[in-house]
Amino acid sequence: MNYQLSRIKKGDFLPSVSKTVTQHDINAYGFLMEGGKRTNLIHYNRKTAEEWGFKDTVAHGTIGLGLMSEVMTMFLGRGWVEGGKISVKFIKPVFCNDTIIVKGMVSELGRDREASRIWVDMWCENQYGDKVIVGSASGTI
Amino acid sequence: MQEKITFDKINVGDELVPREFILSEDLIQQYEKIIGTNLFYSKDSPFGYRIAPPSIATAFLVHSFYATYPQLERVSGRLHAKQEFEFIRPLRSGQKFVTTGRVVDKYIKRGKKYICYELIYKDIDGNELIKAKYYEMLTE
Repeated sequence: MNYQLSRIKKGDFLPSVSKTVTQHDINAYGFLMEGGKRTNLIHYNRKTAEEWGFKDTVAHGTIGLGLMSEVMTMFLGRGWVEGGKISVKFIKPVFCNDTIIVKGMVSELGRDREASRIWVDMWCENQYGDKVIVGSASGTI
Repeated sequence: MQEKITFDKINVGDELVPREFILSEDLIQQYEKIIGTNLFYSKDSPFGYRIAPPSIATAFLVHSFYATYPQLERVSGRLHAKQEFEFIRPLRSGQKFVTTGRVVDKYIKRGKKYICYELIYKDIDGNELIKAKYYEMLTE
């Protein structure tokens, strides 16, 4: 962890990570989340996804949330793992082979229940620059 | 014959079926293959033991809900609308925990039906580990 938390200020950008989500990732994630049941076929079957109006299979939104959480661990370490909060909306689908890019910016520094807390605006974009997930997170420092 | 579960039959306040899990090291590693690894979570973590990435909580989000409303699980087209988490204590490799919860909201927005439930993850001593709020767009 190289971030000097004492120097963080409002407007600072968070580290960014990106991932291209493959069908293998979607299948593996679905196996973890659904215990191997594969009940929501928009994630696994292209024909079903198209029947529901999607151009391809849809990645689970929480894959993006997982990447956002990893950025917060990189940024705050223990202050994220123990005391972190996140709230996100999944506003556009992430399709198979889309790239998710996580971005964030410090929005506020203050105190919350006797601990110093940092709030960030976070979002994920796809490879076209469209926002797919928007939200906020906070952790202690 | 099992009564068909529909949006109308889900009630705010419905308690969800508790589910018990053991967080295996294998599951943590499978999850890390998807979102990446970080030595911060290793046995050299600030906690002195191997912990899981906190967002692994997503792998246990739906089990209590679909144990309560099994018919809804079999329908495709469901979409995750919003998600909130509070990470109170880290999950550790090999840990046993329980998810409990209840439905806290249901609404129709732009012709689509949504439900929201709260979920609490607790260890075997009853200590809260994670709090979650899950919003899903249902299809029937």
